[in-house]
Amino acid sequence: MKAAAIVLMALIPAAALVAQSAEEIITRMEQNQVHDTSRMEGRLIINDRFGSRTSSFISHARGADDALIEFTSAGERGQKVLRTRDEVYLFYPDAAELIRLQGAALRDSMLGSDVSYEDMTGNRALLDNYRVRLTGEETVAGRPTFRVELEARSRNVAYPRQTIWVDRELFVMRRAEQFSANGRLLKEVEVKETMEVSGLTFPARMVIRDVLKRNSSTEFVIDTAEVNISLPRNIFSLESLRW
Amino acid sequence: MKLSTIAFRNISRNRRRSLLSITAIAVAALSITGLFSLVEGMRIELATNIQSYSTGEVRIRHSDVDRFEILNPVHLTVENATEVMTILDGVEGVAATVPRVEFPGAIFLDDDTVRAVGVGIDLERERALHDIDARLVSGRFAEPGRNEAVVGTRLARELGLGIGERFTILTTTALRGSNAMTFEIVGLIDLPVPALAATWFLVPIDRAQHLMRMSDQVSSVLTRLEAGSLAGTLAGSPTAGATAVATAAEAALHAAGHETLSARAWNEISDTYSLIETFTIVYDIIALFFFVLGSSVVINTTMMVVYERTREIGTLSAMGMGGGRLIKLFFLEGLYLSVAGAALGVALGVVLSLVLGVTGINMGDAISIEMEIGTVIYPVVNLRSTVVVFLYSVAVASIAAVLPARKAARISPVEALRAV
Amino acid sequence: MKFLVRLAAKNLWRYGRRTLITAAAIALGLATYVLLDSMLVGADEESVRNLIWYETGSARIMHPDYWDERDRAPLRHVIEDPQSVLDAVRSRDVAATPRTTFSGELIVWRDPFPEDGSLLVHVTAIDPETDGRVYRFDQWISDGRPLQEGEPGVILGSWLAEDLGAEVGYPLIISARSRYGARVTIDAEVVGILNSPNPVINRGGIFLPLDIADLYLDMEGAVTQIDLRFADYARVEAPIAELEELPALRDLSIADWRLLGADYIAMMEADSVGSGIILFLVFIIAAVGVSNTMLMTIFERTREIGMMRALGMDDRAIRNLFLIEASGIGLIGAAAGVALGALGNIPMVRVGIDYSAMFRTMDAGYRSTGVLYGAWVPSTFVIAALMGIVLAVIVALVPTRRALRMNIPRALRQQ
Repeated sequence: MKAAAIVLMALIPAAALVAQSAEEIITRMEQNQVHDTSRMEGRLIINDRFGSRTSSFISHARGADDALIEFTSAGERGQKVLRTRDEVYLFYPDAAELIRLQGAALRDSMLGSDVSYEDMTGNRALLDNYRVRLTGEETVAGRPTFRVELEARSRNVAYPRQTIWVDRELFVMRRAEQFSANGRLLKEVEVKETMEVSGLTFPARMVIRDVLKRNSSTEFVIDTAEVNISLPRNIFSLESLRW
Repeated sequence: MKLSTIAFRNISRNRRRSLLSITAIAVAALSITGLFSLVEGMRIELATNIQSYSTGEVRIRHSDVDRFEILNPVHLTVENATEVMTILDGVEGVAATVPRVEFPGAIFLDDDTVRAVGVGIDLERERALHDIDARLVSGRFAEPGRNEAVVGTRLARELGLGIGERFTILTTTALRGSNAMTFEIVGLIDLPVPALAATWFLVPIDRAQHLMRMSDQVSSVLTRLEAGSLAGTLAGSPTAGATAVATAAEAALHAAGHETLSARAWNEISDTYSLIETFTIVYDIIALFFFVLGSSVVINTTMMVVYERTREIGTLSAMGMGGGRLIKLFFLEGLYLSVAGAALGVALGVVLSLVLGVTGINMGDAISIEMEIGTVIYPVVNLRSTVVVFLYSVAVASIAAVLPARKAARISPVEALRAV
Repeated sequence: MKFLVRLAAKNLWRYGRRTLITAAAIALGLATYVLLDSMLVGADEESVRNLIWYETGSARIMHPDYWDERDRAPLRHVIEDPQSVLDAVRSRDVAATPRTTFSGELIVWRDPFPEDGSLLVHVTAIDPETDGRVYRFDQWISDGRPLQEGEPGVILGSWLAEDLGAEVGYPLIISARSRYGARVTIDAEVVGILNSPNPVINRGGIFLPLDIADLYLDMEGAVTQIDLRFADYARVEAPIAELEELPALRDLSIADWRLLGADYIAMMEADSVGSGIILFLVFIIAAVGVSNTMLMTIFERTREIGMMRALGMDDRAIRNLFLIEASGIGLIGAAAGVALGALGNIPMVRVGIDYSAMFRTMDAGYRSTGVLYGAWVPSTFVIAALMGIVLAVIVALVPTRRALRMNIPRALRQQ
């Protein structure tokens, strides 16, 4: 009986796991990674053929849509990026007006990194844009993961296909690959470290590689994070950009 | 009697005929001189524009800029610019050093983006390189320390902005981050190169350095050399001096520990300059047509003269003048005529070129945007080619006179005297 | 009058040498003029040909909103149903080919390329089957072969290939956005290098088969443009007016090569100012040459004029005689000049003047074929011939009148 109980105990999580649908995996991952509100301090380390450089930033975010990033490193001090649902605005201390990015300009890379402004705006609420399918369980960087394949629901999604490896226990992304319509790998994201704050686990150190451009990579590091805190009102408005 | 005296007398006796011959030679010489001046004008204009705006006579940059040109490597700068310029000022042959900070970027308008290139300049030093004040169409130059810009006329038109209005440019910094700055337009400048007039705006170098996150850094240092480019051109070798100075400058910089920098002479940098050399070839072909035609006129005229004077030739040979002396006589006549004609033609050509050199020939919008040439072309008299034209005209005309004269010398006196 | 003509002919014959020299002066002047004009017109024609044959076609059919955004080569404003347009246009016997131009990034990797790199480019997707009806690339493929339908091959302009270090057989990637904005990559192989007479194409040309672009860019048959070539490739007004009537083109717009290649045209026009000056100068030199010999011919005969007047011939008849003689000389000269010019023009047109050998550095910014070809311009021949005759007569008029104003004894004393 005892043995049976042990077997049963051992089986329950497995059964639970099997019962996990791809949708549930993605939903749980987003619950971990997309916060109602957050304040983070971090660094962006950009490596390219000319060497390596680091920008530090403070970011405030609300849900999947709103974010305000302020750079604090010497080279970019005071520069801010405001992302709302559909638009990206840039604020520069030396400029008297805001720069609104739209259309093709969103495809430009942010600070010369492997991340485009579009990457910052898209990639949220995955289930709205993608059909998902669980295609297996693999070990990534020593962690057991679900392998989930995403296929765009519409033709206007930047990355028509993605594969995401989600930690089986922590439901945090461990690795992601993004593909072009015809299946060529464009970008890969590796999560090197995770962080747990207020019971939520999310990536704390990621390396993003633009596979087409060899010898370049961007490392995204979060040093401190607070989640579900109260944020100043109107922080995600144009006025707040011009403090 | 001396042959030259006879030749002279013959010329003045048949004044009308001589005048016609002189005219023919003169017109040919005039046309060719004018044509060469035009080409020379274009060449010097091109050289001056390349030197004034793009490269100076010798340009110092980070040596890897060329290699990564398409990647917009604004971070490959000339560091310790003050020290570098001091070193360069000490290099023999360098008359002035001019720092520049160039930043290509995008100007955001309501729903359009315009690509433009900002250039941070040190106005005082810039004046040593070219007459920048003459180019200011309206307003004034930007003052150091202020976010002010002088905008190329075409760019201003494209932006739809005038003096007093502002624009914001987004650019990549020397730290390879991004930055944007708003400038107020305080002046408009008419840059003689359409491509620059359509993209350039000038700002104080300190603001450009601030925008670009450069400390004591510049994108390039341009230099003007002591001899001056025009003198070099007149001496026939516009480029030899620059190459030598470039070598010396680079050696001096490397010796002082600035190993990342390279110095290159302007003519080694610009592709466009070789284009004008192509033009020169085409114009040489055209000049050849002119020479052939001009020579044919001279040959013709002399032939007429010889036939007309067959009787005279007969008389002369009857009086015992030998064939050789006859030829020499005609040669001398031809020589005098051609010297007069060529001198007149070249002189007129020079005068015409000098006048046009002041007024300019306006080619309007007809000049291609992509070339480093302005819309008004000022012909420039090139001493060397003018002398060549003169000597060539004289030589061709005199030799042309000899050809029919040889025929005349073979005529027997009896036959000659019978001629009409 | 008949008498005068016969006398003039006899005189021309009698003074054969003089006639010959004067006629030769005219002939040489005309021939030079004709040849130089041929060269200049040839250079102009070549520019237009290079533009139309390799870059713009005679005209281009586009979505009306495309033109304003052409610099970005958007896939937003397209021709949805190219086949109906092609059918309509071809029914009017106009050669037409569909093309799609899109912007993207060309990505090359070290080995076999000398270095990793990426380059923002405009790619032109062409229909291998029909493109040759409008454009003429195939003969200029210096390496490799033309594109084939259904095969992801790329043809690169020679200069671009040189900059990249590309050779036939090298793989490269074109990264772009589909018509709907999705990221697409096209893995292609360099199948040919294009070394055309058009420097713009050599500098930036990247060509891909249309069906490949259609598939990858999710175009669903749509294209960005349909390029046309008219029977007389440079004459566009009438054919365009006719095409604009077609119902299939109702919602589309047509731009001709002058508009498509505005920069190029501007440069040519600057050129033609120069050509005009040059031709004028040649005319002046030729005119001086002709007047020279003509004046001499007549001055020489002052005595003869005096004699004729002494014998009672009336002044008008004498003047007419000389003018007829002059026009005779003009005619001979013009005939000879035109013949000489035509003869000289044959090698100019066929062989051309190869000035490439005169280049010190051939890798200059300017990549023409290095050969200047002449052109046949019938109007120039006619104008030149007429000018030769008229000039001869006008030049003869002055000294004849002068001789006629002289009193007879003085004229008779004239040497």
